[in-house]
Amino acid sequence: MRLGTVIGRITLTIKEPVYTGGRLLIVQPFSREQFAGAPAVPLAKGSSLVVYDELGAGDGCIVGFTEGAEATQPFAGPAPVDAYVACIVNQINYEPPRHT
Amino acid sequence: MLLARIDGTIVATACHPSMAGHRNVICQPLDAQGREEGTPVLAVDPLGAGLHQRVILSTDGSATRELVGDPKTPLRNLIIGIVDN
Repeated sequence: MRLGTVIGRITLTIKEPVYTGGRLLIVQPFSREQFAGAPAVPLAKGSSLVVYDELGAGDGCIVGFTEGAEATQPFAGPAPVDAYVACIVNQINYEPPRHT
Repeated sequence: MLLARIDGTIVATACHPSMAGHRNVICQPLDAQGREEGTPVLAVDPLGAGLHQRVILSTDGSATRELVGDPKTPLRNLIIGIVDN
């Protein structure tokens, strides 16, 4: 699971039936600096991804998302989903050792 | 399996039902020399590892599904050992 910031949302009219009930968010994965409290930059180095969300995360929320095969586990059958919001994060306690 | 260091924890109220009651920690992957490698990831910690302790991180989803007892859990990363030496 990785952390990311919700930066947008995607609306689909015609879609796979498995997508019904959730929504698709655009999520920018956290850099190490952001774990330490740095604000999200408008244009990050890494690419953003589309994440399926059933919890109702809004713009600017920090979410934990899983990728790969585990992202499809919550669905009843095979689903074309690459990333899935597993939790909406309230608080991050990040304290890396100072000497490194 | 990866060598990693515990760099913190997260608190999440709204989460997949299978995550309730499980501790989630921020793990910084380390290379063979103990240097930081890549961005931190989150993992389920059934062992109660302390801050800055080195741990072994498994990325096997089936082991995690067995641990949380829910075949539908989206969780994958799991701490399977605390490194002494």
